Amino acid sequence: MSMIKLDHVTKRFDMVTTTKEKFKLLFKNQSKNVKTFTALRDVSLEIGSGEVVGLVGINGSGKSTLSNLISGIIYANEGDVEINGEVAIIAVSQGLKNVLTGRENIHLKCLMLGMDDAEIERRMPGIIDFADIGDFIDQPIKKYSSGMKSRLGFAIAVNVDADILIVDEALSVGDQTFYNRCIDKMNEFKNEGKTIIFVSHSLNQIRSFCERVIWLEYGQVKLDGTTKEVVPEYKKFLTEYKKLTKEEQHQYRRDRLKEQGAQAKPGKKNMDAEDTVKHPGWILSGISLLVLAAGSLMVIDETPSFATFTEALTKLF
Amino acid sequence: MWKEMKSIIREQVENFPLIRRLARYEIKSAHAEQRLGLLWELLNPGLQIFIYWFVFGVGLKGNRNVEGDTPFIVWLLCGIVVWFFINDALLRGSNSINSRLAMVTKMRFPMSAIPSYVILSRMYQHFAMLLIVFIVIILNGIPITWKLLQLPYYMAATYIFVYAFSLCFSTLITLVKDIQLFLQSMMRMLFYLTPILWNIERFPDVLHGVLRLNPVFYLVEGYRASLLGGAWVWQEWPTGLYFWSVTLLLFTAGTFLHIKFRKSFTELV
Repeated sequence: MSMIKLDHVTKRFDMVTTTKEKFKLLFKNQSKNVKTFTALRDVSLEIGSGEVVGLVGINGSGKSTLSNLISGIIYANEGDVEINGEVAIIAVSQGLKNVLTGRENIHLKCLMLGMDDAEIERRMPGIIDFADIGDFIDQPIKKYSSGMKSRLGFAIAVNVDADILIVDEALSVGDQTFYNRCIDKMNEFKNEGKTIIFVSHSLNQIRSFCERVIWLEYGQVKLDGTTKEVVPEYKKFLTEYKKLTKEEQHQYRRDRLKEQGAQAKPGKKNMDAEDTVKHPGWILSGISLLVLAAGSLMVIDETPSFATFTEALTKLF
Repeated sequence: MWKEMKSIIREQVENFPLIRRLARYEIKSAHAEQRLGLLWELLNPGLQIFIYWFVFGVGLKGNRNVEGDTPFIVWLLCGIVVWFFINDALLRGSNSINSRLAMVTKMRFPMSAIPSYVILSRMYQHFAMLLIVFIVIILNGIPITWKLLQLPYYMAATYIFVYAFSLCFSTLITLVKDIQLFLQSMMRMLFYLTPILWNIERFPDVLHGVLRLNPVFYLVEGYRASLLGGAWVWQEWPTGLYFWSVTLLLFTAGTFLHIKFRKSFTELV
């Protein structure tokens, strides 16, 4: 069964920098007057249940954008994203609250996921045990090391019942023992038939864990196949790429993007009902009129004569 | 547009258990680090009321009674109890999405529930303060009338007004941060333009209509009418009509802005 299905998906980000530009967004539609950055262009892929997929690519190739799209945090501009099941995402920056303690963060996170107190109580020991950060569980997050944060985030994410687990470079900060524990847990998930997407720069981790690898390059799928096929190709590319000077790397990027632009087929524009909420101009002006009418009715009702109005004002001061 | 408005309301109803639990957590965690904890929820407004009573009641008015035989302190309490709720809930509700962006953008969460749980968490303080107001009223020997039946209506009206306002401004503040500061100054001004510290009877008649253009007027006077026995709701229908049209306007604009921008909140961090 396919758990994740992307069909000609394109994601653009507005490159708004100044508050003035943000202000403009209020009145105009995005992507018309603002510079945009295309993070994903015409991506189509399908991932079935029980698959463990590695996601590789150099910085800025769209790995995180793709994982965020799948987890439903951001939305595609074009094309369809179809997800069957609950998604949990584990990233280095966890969205944990710095002033709260570890235990409180677990509580809050679980609350936001819609659990009630009894259920949180039931899951809490498992999460604390998995994170294994000792007395730090009752310390505020701001005192945590990056490894501890990542461990806590991972512990929360794997202990909620998700069907799809996305691990976004989160294992790179943990030590060997924690890494092994995570791999055990992920293997457990794999055996339960859950889908795992594993984003990493470490080819060793990818090779030891994933069966399928997707190689992203500048927002497009460059290669999609078994680990044995893709990893050597990617490795070869990396050694070539590293040899290039900075100028040549830029040139390479420009060439690739030009090529992509020529090939890419635009997906169908996303026309969700929510996206195209019509400007309620006439409704708003209708209600504004009502406000005005009711307001003036009130004022006239209370004011015996407008002639005495200014007189009263001067009297007051 | 009606469809979008219905979907916002449906999200509120469907997520109500979640909203209630988060509201409880919000208020508990806010005072976790203080020695006196939740007591501050009453101490803080209590000290403010004392100052207002001292300056405006004892100092400027010589502790005269208002509207015949109501002691100033009771009259002040009945109005200020709803103002504290509106002021707090409105400012926090309007800033709610902006201040939680880093957290909510890492997970899927019904965005329209964020202002409502922040507002609901202020309701606990409001209930506690209302209880104290009741005790003060009874100790002062003021008779409780049937008008008290109106109180739930005015409470619901307050909640709906604050939510409509927060829905509108929580989106605006995420886009333009300046609005938060503007709101703070506006609320400070509005406090003196609402008959909380002063009685509207002391103003010339011709100004009454203009002062009523402030929607909070309806709520403050409504609370007073319910607690101290004033006018019935239907006697105030022009003000009521105006109040509900303003609320509807805010809710329509809020729905439009919220639905239009909620998908891009993540990218605005």
